Order: sequence, then C-alpha cells, then structure tokens
Amino acid sequence: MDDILQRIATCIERGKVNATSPYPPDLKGQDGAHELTKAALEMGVSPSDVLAQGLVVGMNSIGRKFSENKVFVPDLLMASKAMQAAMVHLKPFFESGEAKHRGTFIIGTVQGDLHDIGKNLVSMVMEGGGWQVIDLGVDVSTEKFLDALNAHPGSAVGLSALLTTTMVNMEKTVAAVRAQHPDTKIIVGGAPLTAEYAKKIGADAYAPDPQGALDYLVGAVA
Amino acid sequence: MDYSEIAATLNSTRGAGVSPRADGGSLTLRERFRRTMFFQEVSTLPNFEFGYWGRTLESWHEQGLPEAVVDEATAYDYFGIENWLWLNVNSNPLPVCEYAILEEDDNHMTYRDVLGWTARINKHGDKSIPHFLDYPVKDAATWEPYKKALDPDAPERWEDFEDSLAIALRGDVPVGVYGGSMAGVPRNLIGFERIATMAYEDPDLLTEIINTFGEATLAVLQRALPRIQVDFCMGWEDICFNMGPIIPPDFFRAVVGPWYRRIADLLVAHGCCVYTTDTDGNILPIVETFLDNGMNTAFPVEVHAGTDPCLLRESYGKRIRLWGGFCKRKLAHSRAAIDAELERLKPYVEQGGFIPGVDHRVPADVTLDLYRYYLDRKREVLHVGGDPKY
Repeated sequence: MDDILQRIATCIERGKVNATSPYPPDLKGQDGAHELTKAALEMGVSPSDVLAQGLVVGMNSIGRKFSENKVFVPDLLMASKAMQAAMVHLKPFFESGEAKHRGTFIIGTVQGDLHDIGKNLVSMVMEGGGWQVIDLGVDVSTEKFLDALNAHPGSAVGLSALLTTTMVNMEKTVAAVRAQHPDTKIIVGGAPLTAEYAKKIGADAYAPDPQGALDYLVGAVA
Repeated sequence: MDYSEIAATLNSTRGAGVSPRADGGSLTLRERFRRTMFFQEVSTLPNFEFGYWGRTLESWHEQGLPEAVVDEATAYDYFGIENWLWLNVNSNPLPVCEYAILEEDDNHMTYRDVLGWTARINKHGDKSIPHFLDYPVKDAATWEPYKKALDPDAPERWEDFEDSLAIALRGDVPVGVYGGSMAGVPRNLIGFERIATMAYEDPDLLTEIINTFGEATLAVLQRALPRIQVDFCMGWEDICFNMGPIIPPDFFRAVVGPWYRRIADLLVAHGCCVYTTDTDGNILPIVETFLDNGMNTAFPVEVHAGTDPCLLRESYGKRIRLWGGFCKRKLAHSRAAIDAELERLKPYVEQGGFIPGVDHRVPADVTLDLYRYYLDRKREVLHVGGDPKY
C-alpha cells in the first residue's frame, strides 16, 4: 500500500498525469496519477489515505519547492493536472461523505479586479492540500463572499488582488466578514500586498505564495 | 559614437557616474543616454519614467494637477520627464481579424482583439492588464494564420517607418527600436496556463511558434537597422510573476536564448549596445539567460517582485545595466520612504549604467504631492535632468 501511495505522490509532484502523457520524459509509458489512484482504490486503500498520503504529499512537496523558487509555474500547473486526474476517482467518495476534506476554502479576486492567475495557483495548491475550494472567480463583491460564507459556514476565506487600486477593496470585505463571521480565518495575497498591509486591514495572514496560504491554514485548524 | 568607441568605453573603468563637472551641461539627451549606459560621466542622467495607470492622472486632477495634463505626453512635459523616440516598426503579428466589442454594460466590456483573443476589461478601472477569456491558438492548425501575419516584409508593417525614421534622424533624443516578443505575445495567443505547460506537453509546437517570432523580429531589424543607428532595443515579454517565469527556465534558455543572441549580435554590428526587454516580476531565474545572450539591460526592475537593482548590480557588476528599479510601493508610503529608497539606490546609480525610475506605472494610490516630492528629490539626489513646470 505504501508503495502505490508513494508512486501517486511522485506522479503528482512531477506532473505525471496518465500513462499516455509524454511528461516527464523519464516516466514515459508508465502509469500516471490517473491509473495509480484508480488502482489504489481498487486495491482497497481508503480514499482518505489516497488523499492524505498520496495527493497531499505530492502537492505539498511541489508547493514547497515553488515557494523556494526551485520549481516554477509550469511545474505547479503540471502537478495540478496530475492531481485533477486523481481527483476524478476520489470525487464520488467526497460526495458520499466517505472521504472528507480538511476544510473549505472560499477564494476570489476582490471587487474591481479582473486578474485570476495568482488566485488560480492558490486554488490548485489548496485543493491539492486536501481542501474543498469554492472559487468565486474575479471581481467578487463583498456580498458574494458573505453569501458563500453563509452557504458554507466555518470556511476560511482567501482574497486576491493584483492592483494597488483594488487591494483597498479588501479592507471593506475583511470588515464585513469580521462583522458577520468573526471567527473566519482570512488570508490575503497578491503582487502589491505586504504582511504589514494584511495586518492593517485586519486579515489573519498574508500569503506570499500558494504554499504559504496552505501552511497557514493547516496550522490554524490543527 | 561607433561600435569601437562603445567597446572601448565598456572596457574602461574610468569616468563612471554622475558629476556636475563631467560635461558642463552641454550634452544632448541622446549623448547623456549613451554616456550613462556606457558607464561614462554625465552632468545629469536621463530622467526617464514608465508612465501612469489609467486612474492615476484622474486622481491627481482632484489634487490640483492642471486639467491640461491628460495623458503621458502632457504629464511628462509638466513634470519635466524626458523621453525617447521609437522607430515606428514592429515585429508582432499583423491583425488577423476585426476588432469587435462582443458585450458591454455600464461596468465591463468584452472584446475581441485584432489578434483573435477575447478579453474583458473593467471600464472604470485600470485597463492595462485585461482579463483574458479565450485564446486563438489551440493547436498547429489554429497557429497557421499567424505565420502569415508575421511576414516581416508585409507592406502594412512598414507604412509608418519612413516618417518615424525622418524624425529620429534629425533628433537629439535617444532612438529606440522594438526588439520583438518571443514569449509575451505568444502567451496572449496561446493562454497563460497552456503556454506554461506547453514546453512539457507540446514542446515542438511551442518551439516552432517562438522560432517564427524570432525570425520575424530578426528580419525586421535587419531591414531597419542599416537606416539609422539606434541607441537601444527593447522587446516585450512580461513573462515573469512574483514567483518567476511562466516558461521553464531551461526551455527558455534553450529555445528563446539563441534568438536574443542573434538579435544582440545584429545590434552590436550596427553600433547598438543597449538591449533590453520589458519583463515585470521576478526575473532572477532567467536573468542569466538574458545576460549570456547579450541582453545586457534589465527593465523595469520590479523591486517588490524580487528583482532588486542593487542585488543585480552586486551579482553581475557591469555586465548588467539597469533601467527603472525605484520601488513603486515607496512612492505611496511617505517622504521618508522615498528618501530612503533614493539613498539606497544612489551608490549603484553613481556606478553608471543605471537610469533610475519607478519600476512600473505609477499607481493611483500615490498622491500628487508624494510624486512631485519623488521627482524633486530624484533630481537632487540622483542628478537626473528635465525641467518641471510645476
């Protein structure tokens, strides 16, 4: 069992999607995350173990290397593709309740801002870290964040902004979330942000990169 | 100055930096630019800036900026910022379709660009980075039309060239020529996520696309450069984010690097030794690909993203020239923060080969007062030129 979970983790980390995918070249022709996840479940490995000891291990590893500038966006995206291929097999178990996420993470780019690249990278790493991700998209109003929190109480919230002119809208959203859901963990991120600004507007944390968001939440809910 | 003089200057360690006695203030802007970028003394550095976000000037009007200042040109004139001339020819694809507004309401507009992508912009916000919705190049078949659109000799590509050449030939200001886009425009055709993984999943097609852009750029420059000695060549990539490049660095070096080398060699053969490309974000993972292939100038040196000009100069010495590098976040902070940033840059600016300016467009959260303070202090501390009208 440990062997197949380790192989799944390797496929996730290295972006090996399935047996026909040409990347990475040294794994060409071998089973990928798709086949190995299916096989593990058929062998009787629990969905929770596949998630925690396979997918999460692989995504954590690539996310950490990304934080350390040892790998780059293309590597993170390939890992995410492999993870999605594995998640296809786990999805029915999440729907039935047999497998559980570590928590729910609501994310969106704040009102007035249409940029989504950073937000999408965070979503991928969070999902790979075992979290259910509710992605509200771009140009998200405070009301939409509140609606999502009402629909998914107890969720953590991530706010993204690329522009200095739109990051000011974070403050309004943070204040509204605090007023209605005071215990909500709020993480902010984006090119113009700083830890100082996050503190100033009342967010719980500033994530300089996707793994930083995941690490904070894992610590916060532990 | 011909290339032998340039080369001699580059090898010289004497005469670098800013000195009021260097030239008696008699040099033209073009001469000041060349001397600065060749590590020679000048009385005042070129006072170059990157421009402004859409809302910035609107916001400053409410703070007392004259209403006549409506765009970059009028702002530069008012603030005493100097500028350069462009040769009007580029090596990007020519239009492949009609521009069309696909959807519009009070706040947003969705449009199809002449290069085929669709994007959405916020009508009231900053429009310079659209939210892309769909990309035209999905495979080899959909790439096909762009090969023709990259024909370097297409007459419409050269329609405005002679007029801009005539102006540039009689000017006393630096002349720049576009250095193409090996990955930035392809990204807009292919899509962010697709181009990022394409080097792994379909490297042959991505290589063909980059090579076609490279061939077009080289051919355009081969035709333009014999007509005038340009002072610098600047491409456009914008392929780095805070976490580095969107193309794997090894692939970038192997496939894009040789095109930079061919262009650099051509530029040097025509007496142009300042070669850069506009790439925001953290360029550190690919900066050595730039330098090893003759791209010797970093622009705009976005500090908050991790591209620190002092670090680059400490790491690469005179191998690297710097253009930009003043952290825009300091502008919005305080006078003390502006002073500290100028003082931080000063020793590196004094080494030469460094034209200091804000590391991207000035954002709208910068007050007019702090921006004027920055410009005034930049003149005092870093000895840049230009005559303000405020």
